[in-house]
Amino acid sequence: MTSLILPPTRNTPSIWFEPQAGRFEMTGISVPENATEFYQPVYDWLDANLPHMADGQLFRFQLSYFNSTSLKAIFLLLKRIVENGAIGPKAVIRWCVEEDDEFMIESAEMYMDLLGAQFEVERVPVDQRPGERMAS
Amino acid sequence: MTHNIVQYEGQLSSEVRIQLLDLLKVVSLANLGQRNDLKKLCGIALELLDNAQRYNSAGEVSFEWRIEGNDLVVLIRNRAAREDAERLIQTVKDINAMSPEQVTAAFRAQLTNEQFGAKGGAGLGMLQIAKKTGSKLEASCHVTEAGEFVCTSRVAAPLS
Repeated sequence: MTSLILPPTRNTPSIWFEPQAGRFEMTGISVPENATEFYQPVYDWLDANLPHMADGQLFRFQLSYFNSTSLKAIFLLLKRIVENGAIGPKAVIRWCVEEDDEFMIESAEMYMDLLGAQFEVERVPVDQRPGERMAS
Repeated sequence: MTHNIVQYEGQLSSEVRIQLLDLLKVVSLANLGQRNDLKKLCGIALELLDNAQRYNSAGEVSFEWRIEGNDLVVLIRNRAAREDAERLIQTVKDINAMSPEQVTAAFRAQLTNEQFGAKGGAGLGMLQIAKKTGSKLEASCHVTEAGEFVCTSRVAAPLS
C-alpha cells in the first residue's frame, strides 16, 4: 500500500496516512473554499486501501476548526471508514478535542450519532492544539 | 450600545477570509472574553464569508462584525448571479419558516445526502447558523442600475 501524505496549508489540514508505520492522522484546520477538490484524493486513497488494511488501525483526527462544507466532506470520509468495516476490532477513530471546544465536541457527537459508531473522544489540553491560531 | 468591532470592504480571497478569521478570534477574545462558544460565534462569520466568496460574482464585498446590545451581529454584502441571489432569498425564507426541530432535521438530511453544489457548497451554511444560534436569518437583495444583483445577509446571535 502506498502512503498519502498532504502537508497542511492555510486552508486545509495535514493528512498523514502511512500504512507501513501504522499512522493515520488528520490534523489542523479545514476551511477550503471547495472541500470536494481537497478531499477527493483522500476518498480515493481510502477506497483503494481500506479493504486491505490490517486490523486494529487507529485513525486520529485533531482538527482545530472546519467550515460546514468540510463538515460534510469529513462526514463522507468517516463514513467510508465505518462502512468498510474498519471500525471496532478493525480500526478505531480517535477524535481529539480541546477541553473547552464546544464546537468540536458537538461535531463528534453528531458524527457518532449519524454513523451509529463510537469514537474515542480524547480531551487534549488547550496548549497541545496544532497551532495557537484558530486559522493557522 | 453598539461596538463596531471589525469592518472590511474589499476583495475576498481565501487568504483574506483566513486573515479575517484570525482577526475575529483576537478581537472577540478582547471584547467578549474567554468563552466556550467563541468558535461558534466566529463560525457564523466563517459561513457567511464562505458563501460570499463562493457566490460573489464581481468586485468587492462588505463585511461587518459588531456587538449590538446583547447580540453579536454579522453582516455581509456581495454581488451575485441572479440564480444565486434568488436561491439565497428562498433558502433563508425556508429556514425561517422551520421550527428548531425542523432545522435540525433539515441539517442532518443535507449533511448526509453526499451532494455538493456546482460551486462546491454543501448547502449547510445557513442551516448551520440557524441551528447553532437559534436566530432568524435575514437576507435581502436589490438590483443596481447596472442590473447587478447585490445580496445582503445578516445574522444577530444572542450573546448568552
